[in-house]
Amino acid sequence: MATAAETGAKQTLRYVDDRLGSASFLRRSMNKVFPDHWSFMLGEIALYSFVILLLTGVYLTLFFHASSREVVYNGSYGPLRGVPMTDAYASTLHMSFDVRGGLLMRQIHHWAAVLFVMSIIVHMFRVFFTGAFRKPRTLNWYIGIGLMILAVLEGFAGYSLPDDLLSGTGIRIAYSVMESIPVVGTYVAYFLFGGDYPGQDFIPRLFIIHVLLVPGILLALISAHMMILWHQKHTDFPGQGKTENNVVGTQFYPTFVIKTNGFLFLVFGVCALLGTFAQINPVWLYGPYNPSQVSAGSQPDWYIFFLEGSLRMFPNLETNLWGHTISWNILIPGVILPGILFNLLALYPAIEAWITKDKGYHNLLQRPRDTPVRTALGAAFIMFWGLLYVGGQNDVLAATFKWSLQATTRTLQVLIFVLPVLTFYFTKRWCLGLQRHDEELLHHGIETGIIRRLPSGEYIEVTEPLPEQRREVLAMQLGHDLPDHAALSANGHSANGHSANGHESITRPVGALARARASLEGFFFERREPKVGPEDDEPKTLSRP
Amino acid sequence: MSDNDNTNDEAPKTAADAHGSVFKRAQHPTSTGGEPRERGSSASAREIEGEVLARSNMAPDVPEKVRPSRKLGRRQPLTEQAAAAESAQYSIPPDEDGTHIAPPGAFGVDHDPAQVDPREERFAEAQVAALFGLTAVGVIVTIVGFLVIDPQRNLGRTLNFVIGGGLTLALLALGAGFCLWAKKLLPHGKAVQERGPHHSPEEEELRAEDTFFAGVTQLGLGSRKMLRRSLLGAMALLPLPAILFLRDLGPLPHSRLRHTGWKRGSRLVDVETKLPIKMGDIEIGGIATVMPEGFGNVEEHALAPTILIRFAPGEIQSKKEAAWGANDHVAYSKICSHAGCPISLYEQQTHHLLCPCHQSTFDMADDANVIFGPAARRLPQLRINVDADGYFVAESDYKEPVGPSFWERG
Repeated sequence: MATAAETGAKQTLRYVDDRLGSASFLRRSMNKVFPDHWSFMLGEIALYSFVILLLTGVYLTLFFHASSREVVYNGSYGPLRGVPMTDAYASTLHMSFDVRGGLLMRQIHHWAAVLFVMSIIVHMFRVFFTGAFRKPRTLNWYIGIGLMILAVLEGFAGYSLPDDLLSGTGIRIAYSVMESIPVVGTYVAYFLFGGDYPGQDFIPRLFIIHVLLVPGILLALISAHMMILWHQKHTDFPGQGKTENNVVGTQFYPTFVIKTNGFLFLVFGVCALLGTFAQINPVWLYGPYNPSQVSAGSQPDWYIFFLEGSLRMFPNLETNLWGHTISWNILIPGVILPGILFNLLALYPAIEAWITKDKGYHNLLQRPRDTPVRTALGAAFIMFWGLLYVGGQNDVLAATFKWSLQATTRTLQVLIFVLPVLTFYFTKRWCLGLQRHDEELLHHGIETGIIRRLPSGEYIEVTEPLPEQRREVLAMQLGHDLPDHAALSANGHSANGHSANGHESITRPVGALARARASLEGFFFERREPKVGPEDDEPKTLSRP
Repeated sequence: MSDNDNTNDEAPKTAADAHGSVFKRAQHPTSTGGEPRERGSSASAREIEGEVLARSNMAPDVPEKVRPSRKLGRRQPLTEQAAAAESAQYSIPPDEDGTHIAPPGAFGVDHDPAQVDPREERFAEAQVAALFGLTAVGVIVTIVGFLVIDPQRNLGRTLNFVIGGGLTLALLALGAGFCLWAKKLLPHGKAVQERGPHHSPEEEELRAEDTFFAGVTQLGLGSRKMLRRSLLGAMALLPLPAILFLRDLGPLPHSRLRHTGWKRGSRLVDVETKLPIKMGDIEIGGIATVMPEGFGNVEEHALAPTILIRFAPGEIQSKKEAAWGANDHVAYSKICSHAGCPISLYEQQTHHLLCPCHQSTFDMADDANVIFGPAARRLPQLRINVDADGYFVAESDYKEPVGPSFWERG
């Protein structure tokens, strides 16, 4: 029996190889090594939630009617029976109440979408704070940013399709944002919606964007992302036996295949768990969309909150010049600000490489503390984004905590300028402090808590040196080879060993741009005091008179 | 389960591993320090106090928490020399991709099924099989639930919980089974692969450039100006039909955004009751959402929703507002001048109207003046009157565009 199966498998492999010459690729792929670290699973969560979205999404298309035609509901859900509504909304009710498993699939789909965007963003943070975006992985960073933006748009499109009162309000705001674009705004809105808001054309158009156009691009970009990952091999954290030139971990086949499939089913299981027991987007409670109605506490899905917050917090500026209106109060928070945020994110690898003059290859990751300025910039960015996010719920906050709505908004308007700066400062100090601690460990060892008195009467604190392997790894993490470190530090320049890798020689900057670049470089590399000299390797002594 | 994992992970591979870290260190004192090193060791302490003090965490007066062992990972890694010695016995020789299997322990963390106690292995197999069995149970629950439970019961919640619960159980158990299988029965963390260069050899890069530019020369894109220019012209023209074909996606905006469906003599019809409103229908301080009489689908008149407010006599502060109203009733656009949400929260005492989307607040007694929030303009007022039958009617359409601003608004 086993031999028959074996022969069959061999014949299949041979059959394919005879036609594609695939055996060598297959063998290399099966031997491929994946490093083990929990944070490498964040991207896997994104990938697997996309798989779940495709599976459940196909199911939903079998029951959804992408039509604005007005119908009168006559299904199982009593409170809405006899109410006129669009076919899109009626079919969503139908699949929720009259298709067995339909509600489950809808909820799994929505939870998987929430998880998809969330895991992409956390994955992006991981890549950012560990420096995994550096050369040679820059292209994958750009693709990743594209994936994130598309995922957000795709989520918004899907959430808008049922044409309930909540999502219709979101579409109304999106239409207003389009209208605010100077010169072409009204044309964009009219061509996309087929005329006046809301019109009959929008739902079918949005549907095909949601189920074909964007998923197609997502699929293509995800494939490119994975192929580049496969080709370039994974990054890894510094560790024993790990170098810039090797990968240490688990082979793709058999262990990684089993592990990652297990993870696929776990992600699917968690989505099923949420879809079963945690209600999401109960559109039947919102009612059908009606442009003359809105409910208090209207909130989008979480990944749109930052846009909602920026719209709520921006002051009421509008200019009228030569018969034309520019509504800055929508244009800036709704179009320009997200444009700047996404562009800053996308271009960060290029900006950092330009400032640091770093042209080297990097396969070993950094810890956040190893690059204080990058980490602090990232933290400040998250704080800014987080305050926009909070601003998107100012009414809910005010109502929940009995605050004044006006005071809440005004406070947020101040905090959005103050807190990111403070976050930058404290994160940087925190990183530098952790670095100093690591330097202490490396050069003085671990404090034993034992105080000895010398025959001379002097007191010393006894330290225990780190084990050799730990020292090596720590030195690698801190980014310096022990012999070169003092010289590099004395240079007042980066003590980062990686930066020696591929750095240009230091020349005197000429011109304003070069001077700016030089001062930015100094800013970026400002780090621990050059306190490490040979004499510092003596243990600390505590003297008493 | 996690307890179990730990015990198995720490399962005795060697006698030394089986014991606590203190004992282990006592057996192999050199592995944690004490040997002379060129940097970083506490030289003076060693010189003065000798060997015993240098291995100070063996000393009985060292509190548990300062012992470095806690920071060193779960297992004692091999020294580099020992690892190198062991790597001489790779179980798989390096192949062309530079992949090879490192010996157990070479990288500090790994799991080698060959080292596991056979009883442990049988137990792990049983655990994995039990999880796969749970998957089968979950699937059966789902199938039976789907066929047996009345989908109408409890608004479908019962069915949803049972089939969803079964599916959840099946998927989670399957995933856990796979993970346990990989963790306990498969080798991990011990393969090493060389990365190889990220870019092509320089001569390859040069040859690629040469091939490319040789082609450019053959194409003559540099020398044949007429060909180049005509090609550029043709390619520039080609997308034009595509853009033209998109023309009928929608009508041109022109003046459509300036009209709402209100016209002179349109009665104000309550959207809830569908009845025209006359004096006395609204209490003092009350409001109603109204549409022009004869409106069909609300969606066809997305800009028409209007809010009709009745004030107490003398409450209206703006002269223009009072003049455009009738009998202390005033009508304003319900579509927010910020982002177009229908404004719906009216505070009777303060005459404030608040938009629930972005909290723009308008003082309705002062001609809808913006007193808070991101809206930059007052709400447009609809001039109303009372017709011969006593019903409120519009005097005309809105005098200015309703809703959010746009470029051509002026």
